[in-house]
Amino acid sequence: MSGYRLPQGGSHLDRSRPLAFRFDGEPMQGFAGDTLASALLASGRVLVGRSFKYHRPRGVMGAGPEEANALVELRDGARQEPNTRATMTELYGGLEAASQNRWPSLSFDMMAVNDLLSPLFSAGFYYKTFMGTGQATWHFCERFIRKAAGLGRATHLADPDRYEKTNAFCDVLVVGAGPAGLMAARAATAAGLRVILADENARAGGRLFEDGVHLDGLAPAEWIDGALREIEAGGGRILPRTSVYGYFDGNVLGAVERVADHKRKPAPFEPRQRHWTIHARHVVLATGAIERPLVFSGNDAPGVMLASAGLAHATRYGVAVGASVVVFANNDGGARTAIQLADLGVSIKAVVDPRREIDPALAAALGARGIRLETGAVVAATRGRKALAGIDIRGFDPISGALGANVMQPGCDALLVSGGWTPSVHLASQAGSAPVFDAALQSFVPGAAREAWTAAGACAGTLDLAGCLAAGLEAGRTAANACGKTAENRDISLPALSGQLAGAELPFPLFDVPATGGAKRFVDFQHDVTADDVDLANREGFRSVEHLKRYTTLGMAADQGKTSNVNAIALMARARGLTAPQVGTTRFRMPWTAVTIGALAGRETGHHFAPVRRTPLHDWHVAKGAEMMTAGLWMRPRAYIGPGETLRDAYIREATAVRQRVGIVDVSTLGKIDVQGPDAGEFLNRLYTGGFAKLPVGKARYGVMLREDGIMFDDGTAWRLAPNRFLVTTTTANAGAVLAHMEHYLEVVWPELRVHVTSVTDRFAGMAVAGPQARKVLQAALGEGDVSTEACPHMGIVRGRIAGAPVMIARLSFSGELAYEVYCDWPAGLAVWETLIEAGKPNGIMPYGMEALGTLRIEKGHITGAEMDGRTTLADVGLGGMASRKKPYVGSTMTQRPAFVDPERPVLVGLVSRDGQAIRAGSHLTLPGGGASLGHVTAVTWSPALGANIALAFLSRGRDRHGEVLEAAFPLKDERVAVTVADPCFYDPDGSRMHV
Amino acid sequence: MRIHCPCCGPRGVAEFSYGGDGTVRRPDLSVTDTDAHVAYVFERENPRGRHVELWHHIGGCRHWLLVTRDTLTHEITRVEMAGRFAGEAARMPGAGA
Amino acid sequence: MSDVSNEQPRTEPQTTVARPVVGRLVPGEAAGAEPPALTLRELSTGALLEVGAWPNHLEKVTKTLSDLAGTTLPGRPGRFTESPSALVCWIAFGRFIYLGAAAEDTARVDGALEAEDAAVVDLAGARRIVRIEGEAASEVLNKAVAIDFDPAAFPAGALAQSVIHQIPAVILRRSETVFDVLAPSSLADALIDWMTDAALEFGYRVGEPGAVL
Repeated sequence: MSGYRLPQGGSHLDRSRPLAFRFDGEPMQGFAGDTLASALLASGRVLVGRSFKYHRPRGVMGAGPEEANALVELRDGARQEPNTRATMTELYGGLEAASQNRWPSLSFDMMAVNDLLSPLFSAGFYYKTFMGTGQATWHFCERFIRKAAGLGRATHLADPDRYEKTNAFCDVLVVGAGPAGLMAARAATAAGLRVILADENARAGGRLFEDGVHLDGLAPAEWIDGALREIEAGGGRILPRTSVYGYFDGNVLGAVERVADHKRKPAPFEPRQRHWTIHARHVVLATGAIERPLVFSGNDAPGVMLASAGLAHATRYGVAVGASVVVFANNDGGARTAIQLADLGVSIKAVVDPRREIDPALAAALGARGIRLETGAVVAATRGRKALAGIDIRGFDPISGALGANVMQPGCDALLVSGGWTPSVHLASQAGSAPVFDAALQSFVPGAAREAWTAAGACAGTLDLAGCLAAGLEAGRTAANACGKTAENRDISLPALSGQLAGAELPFPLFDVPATGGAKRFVDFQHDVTADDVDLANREGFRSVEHLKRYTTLGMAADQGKTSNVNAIALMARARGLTAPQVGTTRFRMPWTAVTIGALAGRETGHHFAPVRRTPLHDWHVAKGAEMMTAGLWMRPRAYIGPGETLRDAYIREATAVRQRVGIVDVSTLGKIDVQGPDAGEFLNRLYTGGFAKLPVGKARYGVMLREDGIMFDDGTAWRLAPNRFLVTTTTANAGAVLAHMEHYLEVVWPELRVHVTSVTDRFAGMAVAGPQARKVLQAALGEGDVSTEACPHMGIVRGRIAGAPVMIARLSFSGELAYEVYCDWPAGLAVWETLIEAGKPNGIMPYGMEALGTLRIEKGHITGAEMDGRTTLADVGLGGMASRKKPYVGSTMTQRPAFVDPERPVLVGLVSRDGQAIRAGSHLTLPGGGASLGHVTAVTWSPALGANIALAFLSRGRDRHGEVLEAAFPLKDERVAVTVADPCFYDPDGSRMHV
Repeated sequence: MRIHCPCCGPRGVAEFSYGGDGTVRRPDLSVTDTDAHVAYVFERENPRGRHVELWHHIGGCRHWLLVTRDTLTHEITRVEMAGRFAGEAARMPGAGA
Repeated sequence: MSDVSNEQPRTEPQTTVARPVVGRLVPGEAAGAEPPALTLRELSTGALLEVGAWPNHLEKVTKTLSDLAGTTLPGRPGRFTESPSALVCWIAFGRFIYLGAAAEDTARVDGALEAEDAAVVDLAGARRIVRIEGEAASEVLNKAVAIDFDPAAFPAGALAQSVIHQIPAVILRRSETVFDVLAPSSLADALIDWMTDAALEFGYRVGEPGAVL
């Protein structure tokens, strides 16, 4: 016999709505309002999981976010979700849950052999065994260890559900809707403030359900509902099932709302979870407290549970967690819990308390209910492996801490434990100074705030209900004041309390009971860290809390040490002969509870991962069979692959057309910047290495910008459209960076210059017509305008019309052929493009993509981002002549530094494969037969014009090595290609083809 | 982290890009002494505490801002327009809001 | 260039792309939760210019723009003002976007401003404008931008430049429930793609295209 459903009771339960579910395939039943944990307990289920390291049998230990044992795999298929806390999982009809970390079954787990081998797996096991000479062993053992350790399994299927991310703004965010949080939210709402009240549970109220009192004559559920209605009526937003997990700079908090986790699957278009980024002027932290376990031999046996959890399961879900229950507590809360449970119909056998005496009124009340009280005693050990069968009660000397004689060894199936309360200081710690030790609580309370927050209620160390309500009201008023509202809280008053009021349940400073037998005493249940591990860490010198944490992994499990932190500090303090505040606590990091990757990713997955940037010709490219490729956010045609063609066939055909006839390519993606103003010429003169102040109107010029450190930044052209106006083009990749660079100089460095810069990338569609027939085609397409050699010489600019749209044409060449860049209004792009194609048909015009463009530029030795890789100078790429000596410009002085003029510096060269083998980009250049790297390959192609595999590379002393034979080595593929070093301009080195 | 842009109001840090130490001054164009430029480009204090930094509101108004930020606590105590509109900004209604 | 030696021949034209775009606003279409709580539509404008005023010339430029638009400009950036013929956005210190009902406004604005006072850049065609309308409109926008759209903080007449799903956008609040979003033309389909997806949980229908003014 174990847990069962009480005949009545359960504030959260709707007994008229039974729900069927399955655990490890076994059909079970619960009621609407149950958690998976309460339903399992009500069904008599004790064993629900296996522990992380030792595969020890474990049962439910909590009733809320603190649960460290009852972690299950929820759902199946693509929605399978590991490591879900059964205590936070609301039951729904058809729920499928499975225990985890066991094989072949929960009851018989082969890996439990780890428990027998546990001396091997003590703290520091991995470090000691596998570091240094053990590394080879590690590589052998890793896959076995990885399989043995860990908890649930994630699905490999794509998540079918939607996750949303959003921003919210409020005056006051109240975290936690217990008594303090509700009062704070009421007060802030009444002050006319925008309030968000978030609570991680499905129902607000916190521990009010367990306090056994009436408020203003109302049962807790009614009073809570009234408070929520009042907050909502005042414009407040209530966020149930919302875990505020992180407190970030500037009073920005992260929260995850489990919108549909309590359903079998979300409704259509409903997200499963929603991530909230909440911006609050003031925050009230009413995050409550979590009960501490006590550390004693066998304290992890299934059936050992926090006293507060035993009570919550009875009050909320009408569940008796055992048929025969013993309570072991170091504070009055134990006796009070026993009394409450007995009154709810739970059979309580005894209360064990290490203190010599307890509150006589409580003692009398226990007596009246026939509950045996053992003071000056402790639970020293448990019996039963897969389910608690009984306990050993021993005498205890509270002064010396020594165990006394056997008192009794009663049978029991549930043991409720209380070691006092640990305020949930996690969020406060994230946004404040170190937590402060409170001797009365034997725990830490929030330190000084570093953001605009106020802590109230149990999280600030106030444990009694009346105190929590008052503190919440006060915090709400404080928040109102902080938001500039002089509290008009006349409507808000504290509720009158009636019933058995508990005082603050302050603990006697007992954290652990000396070991008996060989049984382990667990401190961190989720990571299987024992009291012996803490001692071991101390003996081996890992004494500071930060070292203790990392050496033993204590507090590093998904539960973030919610139940283990204080006990571990207390044990370490005793081992070192210090006090707990001297040992101190680790700083809590976000998240308070685990956050799913889905909630962080939101809708930015798959197709929505990043926006797609398209030119106005995009649909045309796709319709013509272009294989599209990404260039940053842009989509560009890689090649237009015809039937029966490979990509290689296609780009060779395209590149050949450009060299022999004419081709056309979409260059709308180039960055375009309008540079305008009386000082525009002077401004560009300062940014470019070449001279631009005297560039005539109607001419374009190639220019290179350097960074302040003298390294090449970007290249492009500047077209002087008017005395005060330039159109600057940049590489596709650097468009944004160049604009920001210009804005920096205009706003910060040279504010006196009257220049305005605007991105006009999306203003102009761009297309380059290139090849011997380019002029003929362009002239045929022009409705108005003249591109004759006289009207439009090399680097000349003319205006005209194509397809009725105004166009600007500059005679520029990237391919080395006669070529023109044609710019028109973005919306006119398609019409202009199609007119050019039509006009080019008699000449065999061919659209070409990025592969052909790359081939053509490599043949010419023109540089792109592969060569301007943040390490190269103008001289490196053979453009030293572009560095003006007549004027200073950004980076000019820095180019004279010794490393930049080192003759050994790798410089741009061409490579030709000697035996027809392709060269691989990224290869290193060595002497034949190997040796040290002399440089590296940046770009490779099969050149149709040369009939050879060629490459561009940086090579030390490269200009002296033309004609030399080297090897291009690519060790990852075990490839070595013999190459001849050549001039980087392979094709038409005198440039005669574009000057026609 | 939120930065209160004098032009746009409070915005998330994701809209801004960091521009480095706001107290260094670029040598004048006429300065050809390499050491002066090396100092400008590379030599930086790494202060613990209050620091004046340049931030570019690249996802908003695109203005450059001078942000006084505590490197220890991330607390921002002052945000001003860095550049040529600093004067106008200060005279606008709602300046410093 | 990448390694293309192992590519297989293609048998028929390939129409799929690495990252498809489905951002299209087809009037009359509806999607998502029912009944739809939002209306999306694309807007057009005759002229769209950016005006960049030099420091210390702001007063003169705002006066000229006010005269051109037939209205009075607000006192500072972050606001727009409109007349039947024009809508002027003050988007940054020294920077304005002028939306004119007539295409001829481009020349009119350019002609009215002296080069000694301001730069004028024609951005017609460089931006597309999407209107999102409905009670949940601000909730959709808040999925991307961390701006407080409470009417007290961001009333009708307020504007914000921000980033929606990596897309630089200007957001105009035309009324409590109507927002117009200006996006670069190359990213407008992507904005629509994002916005239609973000609107699914509220439901949306696509309205007939309209005009900004």
